[in-house]
Amino acid sequence: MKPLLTVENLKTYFETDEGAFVRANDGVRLSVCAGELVAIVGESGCGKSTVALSILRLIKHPGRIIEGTVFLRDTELLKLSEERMRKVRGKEVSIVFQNPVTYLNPVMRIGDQIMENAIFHLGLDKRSAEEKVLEILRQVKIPSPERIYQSYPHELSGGMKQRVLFAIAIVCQPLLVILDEPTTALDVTIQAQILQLIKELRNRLRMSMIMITHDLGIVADIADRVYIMYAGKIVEYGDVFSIFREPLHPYSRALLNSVLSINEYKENLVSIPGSVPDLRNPPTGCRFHPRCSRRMDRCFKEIPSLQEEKDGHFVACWGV
Amino acid sequence: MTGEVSQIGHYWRLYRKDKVAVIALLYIILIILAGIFAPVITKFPPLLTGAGPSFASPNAQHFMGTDDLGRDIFSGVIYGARVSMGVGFAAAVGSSLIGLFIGTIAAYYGRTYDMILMRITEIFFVIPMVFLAILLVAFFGSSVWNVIFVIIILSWPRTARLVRGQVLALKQRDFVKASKALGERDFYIMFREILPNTLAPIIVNGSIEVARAIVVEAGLSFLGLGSTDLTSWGIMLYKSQRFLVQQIWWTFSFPGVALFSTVLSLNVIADTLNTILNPRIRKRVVRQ
Repeated sequence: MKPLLTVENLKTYFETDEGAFVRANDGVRLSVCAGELVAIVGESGCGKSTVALSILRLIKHPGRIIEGTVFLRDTELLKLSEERMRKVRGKEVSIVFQNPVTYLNPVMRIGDQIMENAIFHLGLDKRSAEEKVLEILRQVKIPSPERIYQSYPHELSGGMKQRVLFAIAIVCQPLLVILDEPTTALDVTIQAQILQLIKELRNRLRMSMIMITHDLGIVADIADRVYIMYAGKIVEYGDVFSIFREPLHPYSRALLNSVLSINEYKENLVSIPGSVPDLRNPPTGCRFHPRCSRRMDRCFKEIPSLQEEKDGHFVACWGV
Repeated sequence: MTGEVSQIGHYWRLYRKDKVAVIALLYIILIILAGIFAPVITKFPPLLTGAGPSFASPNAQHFMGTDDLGRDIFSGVIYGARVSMGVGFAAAVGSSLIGLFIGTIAAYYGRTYDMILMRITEIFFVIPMVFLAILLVAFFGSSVWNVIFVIIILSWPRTARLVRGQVLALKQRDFVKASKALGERDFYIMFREILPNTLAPIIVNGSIEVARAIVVEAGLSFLGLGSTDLTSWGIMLYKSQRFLVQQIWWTFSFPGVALFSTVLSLNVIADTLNTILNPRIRKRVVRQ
């Protein structure tokens, strides 16, 4: 099946004041099929959010997309004019950000914030846009939508605000919704509700989703496929079962090992030694080698590329 | 709709707590009404000479007396409210609009736009008011429009700088990023998303600008640079400055008091608006 979104060799660099480049994304590959939920997992600072912002072309100065291709069906997003790109944002690809508190305009009513998107992209008149908004508010399970419609963001709880962000994201029925750590800022019970909502929306609206997170529990729960990211590169990807049962990359293994499980007893919680490399000066060869327990001479010199090990399970490691 | 209404109601309840501010507001409304209904209230046209004897002291016919040419001072003060208030509001609205536009564009687009627009703003900052006024009067003659124009030219940079500062801070906020991610246009983001967030300081600044414009209008008129075919409090003061030494007090006192009390009221209103629209100060006041 032809994927809905294909990202190849995406390189997004940020230029520092000293003229050095922070290689936040250094050759990222990603594909999302219709109706699929793909998770991107990695530590803080590995470039996960930069992938999301690069797809939407929202990278701000001093960041720049150096090379690569982003195809949405047959449209190359990186080559679109700014005007055309604006019509893609929010209509075909939309995004739900991490912190629901700050991503809503404090002086606009909730209904208007959802409605402006519907009016702009769908060309609805005010009355039908209003109905659309109420319908969407019901879809994201907001109680008494008529009242919430009239409310201002500060009158809503965090979980409610997150639901409103979902409502804004899906009001135009986009092909792809990017979820940038949608549950990180919420407490656990609300997290569970939001995850439930994501599942329901997927089933009902058949939308494709990219979910960026560092919570492996969530990934195991809702993702179809997983991309493991390290220091600006994808190091492993594949089917969620295959990744969790048999992680091939030493980093993926370490990552999965560092999670507590309720079923097994661990004497000590395993952590990965060392820290994320400085992306201005990434290590030569494989970027994980300074922290890798199974490094070989080759890892210092040559950069491993993603190779298919099993059906749809790719890994970039010399040791496999 | 109910949201907006209840919010205005909320601010009104806070405003109402300050009795002095309520009196100031009522006073300004009274002055505006007096200006509007001037022909009904007054018995004589304001510039009619010989409406009474020269230098009549306040009496039943002429509440505030008459000047050297027998013009009714009460009529002058009431009609003067039209010009003073009109100039004040027109200049405040005009300069606020220009300042809003320039300040927002400069801050939102930043870099080159900011550099160029702020340098232009600074150039306007350093134009000496009296010099510009004399120049305009010399070229176009003195009229109330020239006065408004001079005041706008001289006061928009203040608003522009204020707005620029606000927008610079606001454009970094996440909801602006979210708006961009939804594909909204720059102008929509600037004027529908960001600008409403700056409304509180702009309202406060605007009410101060009204007071300031009234004072500037009076100042220019006092120098003889104001309108010649209308009367304002400043013009009346200008014409009666000679009588200061002769102590014909009613000629300058009444327009002077009108000017003073109006400007004071506007400042009180601005101060109270600042208190209730600024949540940080508001908390302090409530705690007291």
